[in-house]
Order: sequence, then structure tokens, then C-alpha cells
Amino acid sequence: VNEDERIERALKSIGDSYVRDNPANFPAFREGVLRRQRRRRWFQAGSAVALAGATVAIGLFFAQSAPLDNSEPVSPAGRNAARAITDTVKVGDTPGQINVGRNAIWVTSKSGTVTRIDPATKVPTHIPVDGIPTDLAVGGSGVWVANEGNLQRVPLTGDGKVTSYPIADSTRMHVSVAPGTVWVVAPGAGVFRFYPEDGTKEAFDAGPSPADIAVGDGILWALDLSGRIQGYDVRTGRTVGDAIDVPTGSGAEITLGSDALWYGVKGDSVFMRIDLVTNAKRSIRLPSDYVDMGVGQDEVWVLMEGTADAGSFAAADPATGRLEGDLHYVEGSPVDVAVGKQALWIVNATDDRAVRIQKDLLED
Amino acid sequence: MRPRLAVVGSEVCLEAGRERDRDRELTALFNQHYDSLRRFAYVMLRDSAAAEEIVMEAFAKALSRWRLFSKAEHPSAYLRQIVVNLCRSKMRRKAIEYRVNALTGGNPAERKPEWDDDAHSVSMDVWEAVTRLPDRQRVCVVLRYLEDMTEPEIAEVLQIPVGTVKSQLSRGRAKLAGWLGADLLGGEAK
Repeated sequence: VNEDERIERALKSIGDSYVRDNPANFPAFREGVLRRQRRRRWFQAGSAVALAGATVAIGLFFAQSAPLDNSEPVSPAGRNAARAITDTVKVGDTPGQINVGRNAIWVTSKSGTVTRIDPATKVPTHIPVDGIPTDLAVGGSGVWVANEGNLQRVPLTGDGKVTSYPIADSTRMHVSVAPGTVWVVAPGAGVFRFYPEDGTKEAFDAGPSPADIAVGDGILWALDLSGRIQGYDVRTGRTVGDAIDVPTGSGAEITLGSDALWYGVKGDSVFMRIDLVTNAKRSIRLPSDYVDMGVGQDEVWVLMEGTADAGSFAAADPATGRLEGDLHYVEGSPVDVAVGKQALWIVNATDDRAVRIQKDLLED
Repeated sequence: MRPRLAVVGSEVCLEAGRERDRDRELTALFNQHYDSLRRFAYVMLRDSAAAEEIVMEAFAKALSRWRLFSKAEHPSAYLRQIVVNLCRSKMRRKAIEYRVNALTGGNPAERKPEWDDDAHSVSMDVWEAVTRLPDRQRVCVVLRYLEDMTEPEIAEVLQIPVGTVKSQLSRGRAKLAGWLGADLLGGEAK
């Protein structure tokens, strides 16, 4: 018996004895689970009330000593966004990412399709792609879809041939588009620069374990699994400035927009604005766990968990990261948000639909 | 008003239907995963009460995100990931408590391992040594040997590179061999 077998045998013997000696009791388990669920709901409601109280108290305090800010604090009570929904469009089964660009709305789904929504008619066109899409970016000569190992180019018209390019053996690739180049991060394999003109790629050294990237103004920002963000000059490959420490790289994502790098962690309430000039970080504690973010022209929207049957979203001040205006609820389980000029598009995993939310109607 | 009442009534029925579905799913998940999850949590924490608490908390978390959870490709992997994260949080809290107690002299005396030839005692000694490993090594070792997971599967659950899993397992094994000795592990101490 070798060393591995001894460890295995010992742990299994301990674990099996425990399970055998302590038979499962479903009624007690069910009661325990439901009690915890009730407690979570009460805690969330209590936190919302406490937050509202604290917000009012702080607001009153500052109202006496400082001029009023134009933006209002988030109301945890929230508002239903249903009245601002102007269109609902069926997309592929179990949608994942949504993006707006090149005169269309694009949605991936785990069933292996990319749906192109015509913004004028709202008519969806379902385009089959290979594998399970893990990310989507729009720019250059097409729509770029990553799956478990390949980068695929979907024609902008949605009716041409989908071309696939092998990149690396990785299960969660992310893609980012910059002028003339498509960047792909393949966790476990590294970062790759892909040239659409000739379909070639080359590895780009962006640290030991990059998990997500954002590219803009000639700098590639790489977030690694240990929670470190480093900028790299895309021309020379040299590091730019000091590394920025963030809580974690696992389950986290970064996006560029409004002179800042935005950082969120799925399943956690941490959201952060990192100033690109000063590297100053500003953490914002979200009222619910972070789901995704959408960055547009001078605007940032944060999608969050909400209640058991709805997700929530709010605008963040591009200059400070602070949430402003109302917290809005949208029914179902929203999984991704994209920002257009006049509307937000949110994709919902509950009913496999994308909804268009007219921004000015949210303000009424 | 009548149509409005009818709508409310149908929503109540719909909600009740959803509750029933959820209950059915909960029962199925319980039957399928409860024992293996609490076995894992118990071996990780050496604390039966904490293990049961953590598994219930994991199910409660899954229920609170039911729409997402029920659509997940691998619900069992999702549940396992929650349990692993909760166990790691618990271990971190325990470590902090231990350090605070050490400053105030409040820690109970550590039990010295007692080696003998009895098979059960050997298992206990191996287990005790595993729970002395640093958090990440411990979770890799338990996933590998108790759950029979491959290195890529462990990397997926912990969201770390496969290379890191390999190095953590290698260091964990080396430490176990050093602590327990060649005789106990049946090979050369590494």
C-alpha cells in the first residue's frame, strides 16, 4: 500500500464512519435550511433598513455643513424597473453575455448560439457557434466570441460564415478588442494577441496567472488570480506603473471606462473604481452581491443580486464610483448588462430573454 | 377590482407551485448530495456541528439564488464550491480565534499524536495531520483523497491554476510524510 492509498484510506474511513454514525435527518435539515433562508431575508431587510437609516443620518449631518450633491443616495427599498422596459426579446437557451455595438445587440447562450438583435425592429437572429461561449466582444471586423479554447468571429451582419481560431486549452477565456487586435486571456495558459488580418496569434507575457484583462489607450491591464492588477505597454510589453492590489482575482473582472478601471467580484458586494492617473482606489460596498457591470460613454451601471425573484441595478457616478439615483429591480435572474445610448439591455437567465430598459423612463 | 383579485389569486397559486417544485428539488438534492457534502465538511473541519451548519448554509445560499442555481450546468459542483468556500472561511475564522486566544493564553493544550499500530488510530493520526496543514494544502489534499477529484477538477473548484494545485498537493504530501514518518504512510518519508 503506497502513501497515497494510505491517506485516501484514512480520510475515507473517518468520513464514512461519521456519515454512518450520524444518519441524515431530512426534517431537521429542511427546517435548518429554511430557518437560515428566513434569517438571510431578515438580515437583508434589516441591513437595508439600517443602511437607509444611516444614509438619512449621514445625509442630514452633511446637509448642515456642505452644499447638497446633485445625486441622491441609493434607496435600498428600490423601484421596479418594469415601467421602463420597452422591449422583451427571446434569445438562446441559458444566456450568458450581452454586448451592444456595431448597430446591434449581441447575446451569447450556453446552448451554443449568438443572438443578434436588430435595434430598430428588435427581431432576433440566432447564429450557431461552436462550444459554450464564455465571453463576447464587439469591434473591428466582427463580433468575437470565446469558448473553451477557440476564438470565433461572427460576421457583423449575422448571416455569414462563423470562423473559428484555436487559441489555448482553457475553460474560461475572456476577450477584449482594441484597434487592429483582439486580446484573449485564457486562464491557465496566459494572454494572447490575435491578429484578425491573418488569423495569427502570439503570446503576451502578462504575469504568472492572468484571470481577466482590459485594454485601452495602448495599455493592457491584467488582473491575476492572486488579486493584483498590472498595466503593460502593448507595444513593448513593459510594465506600466506600480501593481495595484485588490481583494481577489478569483471570480473577479475588470473593465475600462470613464478614465478609470472598474473592478467587481461576482458573488461579493465589493465594487471598486481605480483611477488610472493616480492609481487611487475607491471601494463601494454594494447593497447586494455584484453580478456584472456595463460601461458606456460617461456612465457606469452595476448589476446586482436583489431578492429571491429579482435582480437589481443602479448607476455609479463615473467620477467617484458611488452609486447614485435609485436602485431598480428587474424580475428574474439577470446575468449581464450592456449600455446603449438611450437604453440598457439586461439579459435574464430565468426566461431566456433580453429586456430593453429606456434610461429616461427610469428617472420618472 | 374583480380581475385584479383573480390575477393576485393566480400569482398565489403560481408561488405555491414554485414552492412545491423547490421542495421537490431540495429533497432530491438532499438525497443526492447531503451525505457527501457533510462528509467532506467534517473531514475538513474536525467539527461535526460546524460541518452540519455549513452544509445547511450552503443549501440555504443555493435556495436564495434558486433561479440561477436551478439553471446551473452542474448544480452539484456549484453546491460543492459553496461548501468549500464556507469551510475555508470557517478555517480562517478559527485561525484568527486561535491567534487571539494565544495572545490571551486561552487556547486549550494541543493534543499530541499518539502513534500505535491500531488501524483506526492510524486513520485518526493521518486525519489529525491533514487538519494541521495550511488551509489551501488541506483543501487540496481532502478534495484529492477523499473526493477522488483530479488536479484539473480541484483547480476548477478552487479557481486556481492546475500548477498551483500540483504544488500544494506535493507540499501537503511532503509535510504529511515528514510528520507521520515513513512507517505510518508505508513508504519513504519525503
